[in-house]
Amino acid sequence: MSASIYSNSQFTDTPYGLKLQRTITATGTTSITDIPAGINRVYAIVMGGGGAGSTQTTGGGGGGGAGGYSAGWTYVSTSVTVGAGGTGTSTSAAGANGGSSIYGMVMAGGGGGGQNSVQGGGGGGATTATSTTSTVSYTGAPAATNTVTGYAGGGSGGIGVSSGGGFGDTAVTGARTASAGGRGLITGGGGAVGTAGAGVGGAGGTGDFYAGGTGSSGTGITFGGGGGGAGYTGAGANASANNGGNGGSGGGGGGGASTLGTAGSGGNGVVFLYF
Amino acid sequence: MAIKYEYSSECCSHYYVETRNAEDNQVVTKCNICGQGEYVLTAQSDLDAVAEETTVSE
Repeated sequence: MSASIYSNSQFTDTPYGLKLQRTITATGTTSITDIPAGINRVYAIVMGGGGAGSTQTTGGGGGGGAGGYSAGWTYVSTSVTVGAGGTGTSTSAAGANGGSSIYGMVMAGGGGGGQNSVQGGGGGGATTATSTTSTVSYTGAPAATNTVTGYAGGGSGGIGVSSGGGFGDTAVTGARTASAGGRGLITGGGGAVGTAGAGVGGAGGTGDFYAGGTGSSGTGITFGGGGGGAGYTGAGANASANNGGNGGSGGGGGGGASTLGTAGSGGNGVVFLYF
Repeated sequence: MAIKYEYSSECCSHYYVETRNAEDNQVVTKCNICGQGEYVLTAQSDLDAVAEETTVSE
């Protein structure tokens, strides 16, 4: 009888000879004291929380950036921190950044929140992105500025392992379409549009494992939210009305909202331990 | 509230642990050793958050 180990997505990233033994998605810092005696080195895959999208009084806000992705060997630690995704609100302002995650010496930052404008947040690197510029990755790959491809992609659609959130759209009349989040392993949320005409919200970025959520489309300012970005462990949520979709679990960025709709929240981070 | 869920796979009894928020779903269902059987919950317990270290200015 043949068996496909690839039915379990965790196998796609399993270092040879190791097995996934612990998964931590509980946000905040918790103890981890059950690593067996004799295990002194652990391979950790660590992801930060996704950034929230933003909303604007008129027009659409930008999508949130994806949480960072870091992987490597570490000493055994007795605590682990998992960053929460930024929480989306209906206040015209920048979206909240995602929280950072760390186990031992492997760390990943949160994605940047959508800006207080149409600009999408940058993807997280080893530390949290706080603007349209991403941060240096755990591998040492440099930060990327707005729209630029990088390990952690820049905001406003930058492609990357952790991509940036999509552009929103400022126009309030006419047929308008907002931009999708950048594609990548973990992706940013889509930008939003808020127009009296026909509007199409941007989709969450297409992920390697999961899809981004679809944007909301329709005529009038009660439509146009951006879809949530794809997470490492779950798909982004579709936008609804002028609200952004939430990012997928495992660091997906939240979708932008328009005309004071509620922006999508970022997906929480996750930590996998192999030994 | 963080909860520690302990599992044993029905195929090869692999011991596997997920620590999740109470409202979150299980992340991994298929056995990590052979990819065949499902994980069966064997125990769960509340897990207190670790107090963050604080500093006091002098």
